[in-house]
Amino acid sequence: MKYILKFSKHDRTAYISHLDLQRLFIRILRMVGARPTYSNGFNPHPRLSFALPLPLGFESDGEYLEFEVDEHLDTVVVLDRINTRLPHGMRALVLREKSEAYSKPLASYIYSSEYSILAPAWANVAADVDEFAKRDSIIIEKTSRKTGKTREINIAEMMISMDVIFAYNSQMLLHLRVRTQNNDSINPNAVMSKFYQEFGHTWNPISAHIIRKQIFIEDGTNVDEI
Amino acid sequence: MTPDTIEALLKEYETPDHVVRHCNRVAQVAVNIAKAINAARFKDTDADAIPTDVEVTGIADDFEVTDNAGTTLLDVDLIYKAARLHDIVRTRENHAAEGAKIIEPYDRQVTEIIRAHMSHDLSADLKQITPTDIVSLADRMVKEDKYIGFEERMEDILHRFKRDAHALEVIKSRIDQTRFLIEQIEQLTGKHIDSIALGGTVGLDDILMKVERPGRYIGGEMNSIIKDPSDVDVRFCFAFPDLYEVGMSFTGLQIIYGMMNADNRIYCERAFAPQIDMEQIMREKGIPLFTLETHTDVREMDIIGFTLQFELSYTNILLMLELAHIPFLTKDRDLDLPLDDVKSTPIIVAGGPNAYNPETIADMIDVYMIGDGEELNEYFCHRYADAKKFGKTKREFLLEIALDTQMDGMYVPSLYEPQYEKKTIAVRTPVITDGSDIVDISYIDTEVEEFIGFKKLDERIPDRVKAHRIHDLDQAFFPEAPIVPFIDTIHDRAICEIMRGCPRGCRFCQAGYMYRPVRKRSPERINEIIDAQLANTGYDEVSLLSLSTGDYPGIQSLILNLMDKLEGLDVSLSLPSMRLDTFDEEALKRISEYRKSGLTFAPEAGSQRLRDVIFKNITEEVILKTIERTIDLGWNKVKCYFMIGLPGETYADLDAIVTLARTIMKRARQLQEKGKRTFNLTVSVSNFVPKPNTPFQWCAGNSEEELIKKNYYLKDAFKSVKGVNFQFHDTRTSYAEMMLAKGDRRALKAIINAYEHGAKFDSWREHFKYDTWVNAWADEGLGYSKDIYVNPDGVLPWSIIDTGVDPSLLRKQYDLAMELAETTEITETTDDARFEHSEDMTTDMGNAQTTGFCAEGGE
Repeated sequence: MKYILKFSKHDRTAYISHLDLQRLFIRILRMVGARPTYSNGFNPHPRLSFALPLPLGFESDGEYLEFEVDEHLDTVVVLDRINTRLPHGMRALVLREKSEAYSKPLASYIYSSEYSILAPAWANVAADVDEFAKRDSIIIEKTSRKTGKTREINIAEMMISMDVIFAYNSQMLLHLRVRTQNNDSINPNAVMSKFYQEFGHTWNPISAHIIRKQIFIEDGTNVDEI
Repeated sequence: MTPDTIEALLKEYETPDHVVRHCNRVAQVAVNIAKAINAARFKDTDADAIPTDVEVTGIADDFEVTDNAGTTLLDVDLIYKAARLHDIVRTRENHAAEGAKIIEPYDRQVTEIIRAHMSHDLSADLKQITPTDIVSLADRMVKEDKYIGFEERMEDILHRFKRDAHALEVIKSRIDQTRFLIEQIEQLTGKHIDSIALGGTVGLDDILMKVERPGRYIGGEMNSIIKDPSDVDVRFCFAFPDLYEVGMSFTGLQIIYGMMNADNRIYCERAFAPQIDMEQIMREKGIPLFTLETHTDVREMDIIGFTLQFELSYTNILLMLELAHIPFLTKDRDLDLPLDDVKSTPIIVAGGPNAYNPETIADMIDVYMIGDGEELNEYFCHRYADAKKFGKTKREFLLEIALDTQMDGMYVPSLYEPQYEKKTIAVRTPVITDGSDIVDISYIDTEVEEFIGFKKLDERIPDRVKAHRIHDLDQAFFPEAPIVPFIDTIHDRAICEIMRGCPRGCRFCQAGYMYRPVRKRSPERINEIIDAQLANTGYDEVSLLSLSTGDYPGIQSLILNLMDKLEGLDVSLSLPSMRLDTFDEEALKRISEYRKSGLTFAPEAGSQRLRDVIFKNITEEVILKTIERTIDLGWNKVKCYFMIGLPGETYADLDAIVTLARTIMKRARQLQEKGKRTFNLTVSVSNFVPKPNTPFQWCAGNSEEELIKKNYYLKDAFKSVKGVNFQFHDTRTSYAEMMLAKGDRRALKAIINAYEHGAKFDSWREHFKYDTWVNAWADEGLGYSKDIYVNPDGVLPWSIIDTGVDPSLLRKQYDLAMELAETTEITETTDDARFEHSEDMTTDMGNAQTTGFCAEGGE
């Protein structure tokens, strides 16, 4: 039986890495009576995966963990128990059975993510954002971590929307939606860095606060609804 | 204005260190408050909470906040800068105005905050709160570099102006304003102001992305404890002088942490040495050493307790003290201030195995906790709380502790003054003729300055300090909900200590002599602990901890029962320190099904003669039989540990290691022919380092040259033995360890010298700086060598500690060993006299087999 757990990851828990988070969930699931099914084979591992890895240092209002168990779970009870074990800063929000209509791993359906970004701003920033968001071509250089090779990519193709919610007192709140597929995704820092550069400013990720708000599948449906 | 500008300005205007620290602290508190307010408002802006008609405005030209949509966000960066600089010229008159003048050319907003900070009237409405409000508020909660909270700080100020009626009136009206604003902040954030203000060390969030493995520094792991610091009498910091992942693998930490936090008068937090990348950033940004639980500056703790697990971690203690802005030496740590004075530095205590030679770093430790840490640490904290309540000074408290007769194990080194005397002694020096097995012992006259005893600074304090012992492990605290680290650590599993102490008496082994008598935990209690730990951690592996698991009475049924239980839970059992000869065939089969990865044996010496010298009582036949059996059962990886540089060692003894390995391989191959898989033997050789409080404490270790020669002799010899992987230990770190292990109080000068020249993380081979250490000893002109304290009739500095083992027993064992060491002839091993000193150990261990040896489950 497959289940999906939606959880948030705030404050210092942003610094729990992807692998460490995986280990944490395996332990918690064991503790709350939802021990994941193990794969067969020489080196069995628990059947458990995330819809979309969250880069280290990012906070999120909604991440998804998918896992398989042998027996039916009382989702209300298990959700409560998970919350008693999660570190401060993380909350388990929803636990539900995965719809059979989506038989592949969740990760394979994910298309885009929306980020909420609180960042330093300047006069008329809203107009600049509008102009930037309308461009057809925004080229940045991306260096591959594996090969060290640099290639040019057009991030305009990766950006779905970019809106200023408000700009006030030298700060702005932005909503940025970008493609985040397995092999084709862009980090919001890369978009912001380019945006700042284009308008004569320097992006410093440290002075901003980025939260992943929502994750969508290709037709724009929120993962909550599938 | 960049961070560099801030540093440069503070430097240019020669802002004194204590003022810089005050500014740093105010900046931390101010940023924490601002961030908490922003976070609460940021949440308000979530989805539906944002009014649809929010006006997207341009940037306000003026930084003063106007009451607009009710979603004002504070400029954290501005607040940080202003707070860092607000007292830049505090020593001048009108320092606010003077400071403002200096900053004016750089940043107008920062300037205005600095100008206003002394006379500012806080905004009455949180909606209109300004950066100036935040900086002023934070400044009103911090005294020097400590956060003391608003009420306490105001009491302090009221007291200061008690004769000035006008000033009092102004202050009182400001107090009311401030209280009102604090209440609003608490309402908005849903948190107490103290917990907001203490929310974290400044900029930690900003730097965590820049360091490797930030998970080391965030705290908040499963089962870590959150308490309100204002609810306890004593804040204790358990300080581990190495990286997080090393310290978190140490069971002693979990015991002390759990035990102290079970006491509602104490809050125990943790601090570790930061990795070098983090250390650099901390220094750049002025971030002090902090606790993981609340990210509080460790200087705000009442007591900092270091654990001394290995000699090569001493420089890391210096590193941690320096990052905490705490002077290295007890005498420099304001002994005459009352404990409750805000400027008082924490009491520095230390415990752990190396505390059994407390002298090496005695001048920097206020109080040693010698022996079993249970009961002792808690008792000490209670005594501290009482002394603090009565306004005692640190000096008074230390004397009170030294005079305490209720609890063993508390040693206050500053009350004992070591005396030295120049003398010429005959140093016993073994002479080894190259490549042959002839040993000659010569005595060379050497002039040394040796310790001759202590002068007590108060005649009522005891001559020797007795190590504290707990008697019943079942009654002692053991963690049932250990902290589960987020990041991978060295040992990441449930651990239950089943026995403390070792019934054997290997003469080189410090642990074997330190943790006497042998005490066991009952199987019922062990099962209880394991059940609870599994329920509280979700671990899928359990490990049994002791110095010699195989010597636990009833080990076979304990393990078989555990296996039955754990199998059903999908939990594996790892068995370190095992002896296979206590198991019957059926049990062995079950164990082997569990674990096939590798087994470790420790014959320690290659020849029977040398094994007799060190009292490692096992014959070659037993070694071979045991290994055969392990191969039979399907293990195909075996690791054997040996030591070189043992007293009386000759090259014939080294040859015996090679011969033994050859024989093992031969037997293994015979078995392989019967259809077994490949067999790997690793021979690992370490360098013998004489340790205090063992019969070998009077030995001098081999010189570096000797050790290098022996290591390479073996390496060459093993080239001709097929299938054996030969490893040896770094000679240079062993040498440094020798110097430190038998150190007296003079050694600390060299340690500080080495640290100041860059030595730290010395136990990490990539960080060890050999030349720095060599120079440090030479620089300090200590006339000091590893050959000190080799006269068995002399006085030993560490004899200040009464370990519970009669010194005459150590002497007798030493003499026996030396007698054997001087015989090159190989004698038949007999069982007599094996356990002639077993009465020192508990008698329920009397049934321990005398033919076994330490064999540990592999990794």
